[in-house]
Amino acid sequence: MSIDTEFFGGQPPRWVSGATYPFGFIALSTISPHSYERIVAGAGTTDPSADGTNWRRLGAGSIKSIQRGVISFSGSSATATVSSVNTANSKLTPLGFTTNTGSGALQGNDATKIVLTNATTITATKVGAINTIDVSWELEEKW
Amino acid sequence: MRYYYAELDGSSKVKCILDTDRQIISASMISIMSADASLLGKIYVGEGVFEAPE
Repeated sequence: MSIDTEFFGGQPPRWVSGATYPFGFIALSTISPHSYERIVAGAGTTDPSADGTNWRRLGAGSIKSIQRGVISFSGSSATATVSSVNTANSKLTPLGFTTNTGSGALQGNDATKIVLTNATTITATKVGAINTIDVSWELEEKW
Repeated sequence: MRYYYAELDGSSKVKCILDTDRQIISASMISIMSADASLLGKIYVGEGVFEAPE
């Protein structure tokens, strides 16, 4: 926090690219709605929300993005592309699965697992390789 | 703002519908008007047209 805000109150100042900050300084991100505390004295050009080496977020992160989708596949696995997320701050939730129209009755080996494989990929897998399965999911990313 | 895409497999068949908050630039991601799951399994023939497989 700046000298002004320490004495007169108010919100922390906005982070400024290239400025030098002492250890413990608190600044508002220019990207996220959160405040961050400097944990290593120095300067940088990366917003605190993307610079976990030099800044730490104060409080819990709010939701940054929500993506939803449906993957349809008949083999034992399939992938889907999503907008890039930080995997460390993201939660993938399965919303259920059904057999696609025209395929056979749902079988035990059609139970489908989904995994956030990397920042832009969701992978769905099942043991059965006959029925076409539609699996729905929701991907939530926090700051 | 939301963006909706139909993702194609190697045979131009729709394998995934995506509802996201950012644009994706990829030859396999076709921009669509809504998260229309009825497109799953259809074949993309170009210029925004999807056809049921024969």
